[in-house]
Parts: sequence; C-alpha cells; structure tokens
Amino acid sequence: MISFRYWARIGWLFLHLLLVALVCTHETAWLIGKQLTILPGVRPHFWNNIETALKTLNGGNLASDNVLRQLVNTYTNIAGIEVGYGYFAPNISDTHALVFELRYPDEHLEYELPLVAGHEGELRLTGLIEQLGRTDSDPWRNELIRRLANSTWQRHPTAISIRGFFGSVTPPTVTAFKSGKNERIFTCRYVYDFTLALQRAKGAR
Amino acid sequence: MGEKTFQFLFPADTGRWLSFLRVGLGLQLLFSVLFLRADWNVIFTGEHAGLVGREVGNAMTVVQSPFIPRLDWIVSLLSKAGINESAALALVWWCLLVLGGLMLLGLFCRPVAIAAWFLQLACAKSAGPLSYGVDNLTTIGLFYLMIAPFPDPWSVDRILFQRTTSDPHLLGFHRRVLQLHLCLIYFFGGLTKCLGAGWWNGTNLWRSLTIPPFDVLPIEWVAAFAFLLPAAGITICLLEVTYPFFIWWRRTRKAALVAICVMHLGIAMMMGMVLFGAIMIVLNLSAFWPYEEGRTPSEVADANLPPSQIATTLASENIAVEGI
Repeated sequence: MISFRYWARIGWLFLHLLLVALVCTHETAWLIGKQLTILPGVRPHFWNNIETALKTLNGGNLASDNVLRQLVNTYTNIAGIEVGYGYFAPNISDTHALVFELRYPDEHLEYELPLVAGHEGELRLTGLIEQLGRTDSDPWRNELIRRLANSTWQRHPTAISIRGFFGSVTPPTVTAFKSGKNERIFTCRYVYDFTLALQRAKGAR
Repeated sequence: MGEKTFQFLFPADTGRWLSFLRVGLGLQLLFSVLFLRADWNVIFTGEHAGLVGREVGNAMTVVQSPFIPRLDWIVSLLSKAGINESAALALVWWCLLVLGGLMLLGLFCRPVAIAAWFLQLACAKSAGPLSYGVDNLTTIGLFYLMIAPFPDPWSVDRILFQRTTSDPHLLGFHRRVLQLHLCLIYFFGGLTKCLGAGWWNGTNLWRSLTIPPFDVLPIEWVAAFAFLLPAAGITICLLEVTYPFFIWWRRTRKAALVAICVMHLGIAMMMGMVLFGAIMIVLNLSAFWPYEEGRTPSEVADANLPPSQIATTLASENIAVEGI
C-alpha cells in the first residue's frame, strides 16, 4: 500500500514536468511559427495556433490579475522553469551594439560603450544588448536605451548631450577572415537623442 | 501503481547525490557573488546609479505575479530599519556569501537552502534583462535543494545533531526528478539547435567563439581549426538531443555523462562562461554520478545509519578483526 506522501509527490512530479514540457514546447512552436528554423514548408498559421494553445494551457491568455495565471507564474518562476532552454539556438544571428556619443561644452566629442567592470557583468550586458536587438517593442527599447544613456551620463556629468547609436554588428565569416577581411561591420538602425529628456530628469532630481 | 513504476520513481538511494548537489551549489553561489562583486551595485541599484535600474526587473516580475520574490522586498524592509539602499545591497551580497559557505559545510541545511534560494531568486528577478541562463539554472538547483530530504550523509548537520538521513526512497525520488528535468532540458535544447542551419554548417560555433565577450580564444586559432566546426556543431546537437536516451541506458551512461561534462567544460573555457559551465556540470554529476541503482536495500540502509551508530559498528568490527 503506497502512502499518501508518495502519491502527493507523484502528483507534484507530474505537474512539475508537465509545466517544464509545456514551456519548452511553447518556445519551440514559437520559433517554428516565426519561421526561424530550417524546417521546410512550415505553415506559420498552424504553428501559431499550436503556440497559442500551449500558451492557453500555461494560463498565458488569462487576464494578468487572474488567480490561476498568477499561481502558475509564481510557481514556474520560483522553480526556475518559466523559460525554455534554447540557448544559442536555433541560430546565432548578427550581434548588436550600442555606442554613445558624448558632446562636451567645448564641442569636442567622445565615444563610449555601456560599461561594466567584470567579465560576468559583461556577459549580462551582452544579453541585454541582444534583447534590445530582438525586441519588436519600440517603447521597451527606447526606455532601456534611455536608462543606459543615463548611466553613461553619470560617469560623464560634464557632457552636455548624449546621442545613442544602436545597430547590428556583422562579424566576418571564416572565409572572409582567412582572406584578410577581419573587420566587423556596424549597421546603424536607430539613433537616439535623449538630451532633453535626460536634462529634465537631471533637473527633477 | 505497479511495482516497477514505484521502483523507478522511488529507488532507494544513499543521498550522496544530495551532498554533491549541496556542495556544488554552495561553490556556485560563492563564485557567483565573487564574480559579480565589482558590478553588484551597478546591476541591482535603482535607476539613479544603476545600469538600467532595478525597477525594470521588478516591473517585469510584477507583471507576471506580485508574489515572486524580488530585491525590493528586502530593500524596503531594511529601509524601515534605517538601512539605506547601498548598505542593504551590500548586506544581501554578504548574506549570499555566508549562505554559500554554510551550504558548503552542510550546516543548518534546510534553512540555509531556503534563504539561499530566496535571495538568489530575488536577485535574479530584480536583475531583469541583465539576468541570463545561469540564473535560471541556479534557481532550479536551489529549488530542488530546498525541497530535498535533509540531512544528507556528508553534512555537518548529520554529525552535529546525530540525525539519520531521510527515507532512502524519498532521496531516490528527488534525484529522479532532477534526472528527468535534465533530460527535458537537453532534449529541447538539442532540438532547437537541430532546427538551426548554423549548427549543421559550423557558422553558429564560429560566431559563438568569435563574438565578444565570448571570444576567449584568439580568432586566428578558431580560424585555423575552422574545418572542425561543422563536425563539432553536429556533435553538440546530437549529444544534447540524444542525452535522454543514452543517459538512461546503463552501457552508455558513463560515456554520455563524460561527453556532456566535457562539452560544458569546453563552453566554460573557450567562451568564458565559467558559471554556466559549472552549474551544468554540478547538476549533471548530482543527477547521474555516482549511480547507485545496483545497490541492495541493506547497503542503502547501512549508509543511512546515524554517525554514532556507524562509529559503534566500525568499532565492533575492529574488535572482531583484532580478535579481542
């Protein structure tokens, strides 16, 4: 006779692994639906429907204040299972870069990248910059770049304005590198001028 | 439920895997905070002094659920006691360092595991867009550690409080959960890699080894061995996607475990992702090494005796051997 404590654990194991599988399948369906994979003849509509169905099963389509949704989200987050495991997959596309141009009262210019001190911090910052490159949300990208510009301004308080250049960086291919072309090509996609907003923010403080 | 299913889900285990997981996660926690020391405030402070500000991570977390732990809870609680944000963050850093040390020793295992999980999760969530895979995997490890049946055989708790290790079947069950979870991680990780053209022609490996900040190896070296990249990329895909099958098959288990650990060691050394490589190795070794499936229930029971009883047994065995 199996006692209750064993049955309770079996129930938990089932739900726990089901959530892990749902999150991972959702991520895979999303990638296929967005046609980011090598699968031939993909019908995006079909995969988007699957993705929506999986999202519904996870409670993702419920209202944000729905108790069930919050319960599932809380559990998946505290267990560390809220995201899939497609690290560096399916492809590593062009990387992204953010460069700030600082203008000083004497009109001279300086260029600087967002800075951290250690390698671990650098890995995290790279992740952030890549998120900026992948997002479809302009307000989200604008807000994060504004904050990064603000952080740069704190290191250079005498600068009178900051302009941010955000774009993609295409690294050389193996063949190009072997033939001596080892430069990375920066393609500017957005230019941000935060001067007024930052000055206002500074004034407010 | 059939006997076989029960045996699969609740195999008797000595709990040594749990000792390994605890020690491994203790080291992981220690190195995580030490590696982040220089950037701790930049990552976790508010917008006034941080890189993007803790508010972003907090907002991203609250949107999902207001009940997920985050640093704001701790900072605002400490501010009521007159402790400012900077001091509160320093306190969290020191707490994580001390908790890592206590985990290493196995002292007050349960409360230490809960506190470490809570603080690590709060930091990971508050870092928001500055957090990455290693944070999730550490949370997974700490979550399993927190709910595991303590004390484990190599903990100071076991010696200090003269307590037996928990029910061997529950120890086996918790290890099984970790094993099954790892199989899902690798299967889906491998599957998504298999779906990318770049893993089949070596482009992804070329890029991952040459793009900053992962360009630990000189690019000339990578270019010199570029002919190996397609084979290496395919090997990684196959290694991950077949992990759930080869790791369960007794004959291939050791080879699969060694191969996956070598892969993570390679990631750590060649891409500078030391913490990521370390957490994956800790989780893998805890889950599948040393494997104790062949142990008899009496062997497991012997390993779970309280320390005083083990000492008595050993002493009586010595007496018997010496013929006194």
